[in-house]
Amino acid sequence: MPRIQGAMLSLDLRGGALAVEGLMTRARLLEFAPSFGDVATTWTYPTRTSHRRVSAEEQAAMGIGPGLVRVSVGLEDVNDLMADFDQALGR
Amino acid sequence: MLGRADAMARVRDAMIRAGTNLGPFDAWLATRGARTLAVRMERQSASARRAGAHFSSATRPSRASTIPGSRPIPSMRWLGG
Repeated sequence: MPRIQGAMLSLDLRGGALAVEGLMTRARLLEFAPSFGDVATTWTYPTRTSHRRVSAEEQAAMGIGPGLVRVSVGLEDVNDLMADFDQALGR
Repeated sequence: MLGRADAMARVRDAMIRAGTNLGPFDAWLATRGARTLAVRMERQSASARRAGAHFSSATRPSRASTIPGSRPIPSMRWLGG
């Protein structure tokens, strides 16, 4: 059995909030969701959801910035996920 | 849960009083899900590794960034909740 390392990714997108907006509006497979735990790939935006009440200073200390998204990778074909990510970010 | 009859009697009593027991349908779903848990975890973990490597070119290093397999996972305590 291969080593299980988990399916959670935390990505600090180079394009910042603009890149996150692209993901929000253009992604078709990567689904924005309030919580995780599905066989589908879902993602959240901590600075505006789970950590929205945390002060800007504390968020910065935690490494939470305007480009940070958390992705729970699901059971879809990973090539479809990668293609969706690329088209959403326009790359 | 499994256990000696006397211990299970106490558990049963506590479950009935506290209402923490699963309904039959939920219990059936849980046991059915457990059968495929290993293959789902393998698939998700392998996909996350590949997707993480692919996504990493669009990301910048930061304290909160974690990509399984590519570097040690720092400060997970910040990311709970």
